[in-house]
Amino acid sequence: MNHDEAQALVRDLFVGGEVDAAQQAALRAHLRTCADCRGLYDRWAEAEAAVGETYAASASAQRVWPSVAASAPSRSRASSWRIAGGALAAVAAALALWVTLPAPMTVEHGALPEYNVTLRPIQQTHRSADVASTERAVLLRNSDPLDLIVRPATRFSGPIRAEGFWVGAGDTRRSFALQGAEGGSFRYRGEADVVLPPAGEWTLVVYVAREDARPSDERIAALATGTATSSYDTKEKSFEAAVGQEDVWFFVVPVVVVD
Amino acid sequence: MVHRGELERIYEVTAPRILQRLRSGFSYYNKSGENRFVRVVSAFDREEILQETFGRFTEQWDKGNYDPTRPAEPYLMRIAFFTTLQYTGRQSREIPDEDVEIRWAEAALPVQSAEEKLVTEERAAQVRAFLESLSEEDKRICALRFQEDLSQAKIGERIGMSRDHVQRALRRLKRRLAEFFEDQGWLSEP
Repeated sequence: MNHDEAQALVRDLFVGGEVDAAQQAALRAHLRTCADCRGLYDRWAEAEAAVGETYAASASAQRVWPSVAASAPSRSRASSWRIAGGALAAVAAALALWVTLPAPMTVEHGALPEYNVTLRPIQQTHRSADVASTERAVLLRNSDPLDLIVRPATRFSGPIRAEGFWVGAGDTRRSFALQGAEGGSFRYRGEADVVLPPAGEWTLVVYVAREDARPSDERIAALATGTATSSYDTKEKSFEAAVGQEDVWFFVVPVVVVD
Repeated sequence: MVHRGELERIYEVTAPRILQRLRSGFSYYNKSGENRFVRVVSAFDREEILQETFGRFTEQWDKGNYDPTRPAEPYLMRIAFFTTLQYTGRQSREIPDEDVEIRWAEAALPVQSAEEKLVTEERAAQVRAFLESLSEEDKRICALRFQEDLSQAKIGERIGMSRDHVQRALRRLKRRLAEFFEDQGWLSEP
């Protein structure tokens, strides 16, 4: 579906034209990966809310109902959601959710969504005197288990890959594989003495790319020696900023590993 | 086993309420006792969360974990809460993997900034002016549909017209509204 088709369907949806369930599903799949069309959809919805908020909420619910109705009967067989146990206890939800992101109804190979990175546990950030010489560096202790999560802003499904590198002095490079999860997330975790490089200063480079857009070794090396692309948000406890484009997102963060 | 008719009834009642709550926002306390506020600004995102919320709900129902004799709304709101945290990327950042106490307190924080409030009020005034320009019958239909959120059949009963007549009138009115939105620039990129 291209932009013109999607935008015409958005108009039909809000004006009351004929849009069947299959067209709606295709449109929603397109909107998941197209920020421009999603923006238009949101502007229509806001305009509708100006006419009547209760009406807008009902109309919005009606637009979603075909998708809910279509997935309800076969949900238990097809779903990737797995909430542990019977109750929706927080413990079950929190443990289960991140690796069981729901699969989109339709796979669309559009542009990558924005990604962010969570790295735990971070002992200290560049504010510490310990790492004053390496601005923006984060301090990781190799006695703690490491958990690196790369998560898209919106669910994404398609042929993508993620790879990480610890790049040290003299372009010493250790690569590691991130485990993919449904929805476009990736994770790398384990005991630090296994997954972290030896004590010292390193640059952590992680990329997420479409299968056909793997960055070259030269690009990775250039990034590792350049300016950090991600700064640590102490409030949100994650790296929000990154550089990216349609096919690839990068995270480049100076790291100090200590014993 | 999910009963389709019952699901539709629950959806009809609770889905708009969930969407409104996501739009106005809600606050909660994490384990550290810190107050957090979540508001889903994008209508598309709200609809995505709604769809996933009901997907989970039907799954739990199908497994026998939801007792259909109990009220569905609190159960659904709790699912919507966790789905929102996951969708907005807060799940792993803010909610510890153990006992979490959720307290609903929507009124704890203002839901709109002063600027947003101004835009909302301006738009409402512009819509009122537009509606005033309509014929008396169209004004009545708009009020019943957009303010009172009545179905086409009920509007027909109120104004003594057939459902088909109301349906045709609403299609025409929605097209006029769309032109009005476009004229105001509401559909253009900011």
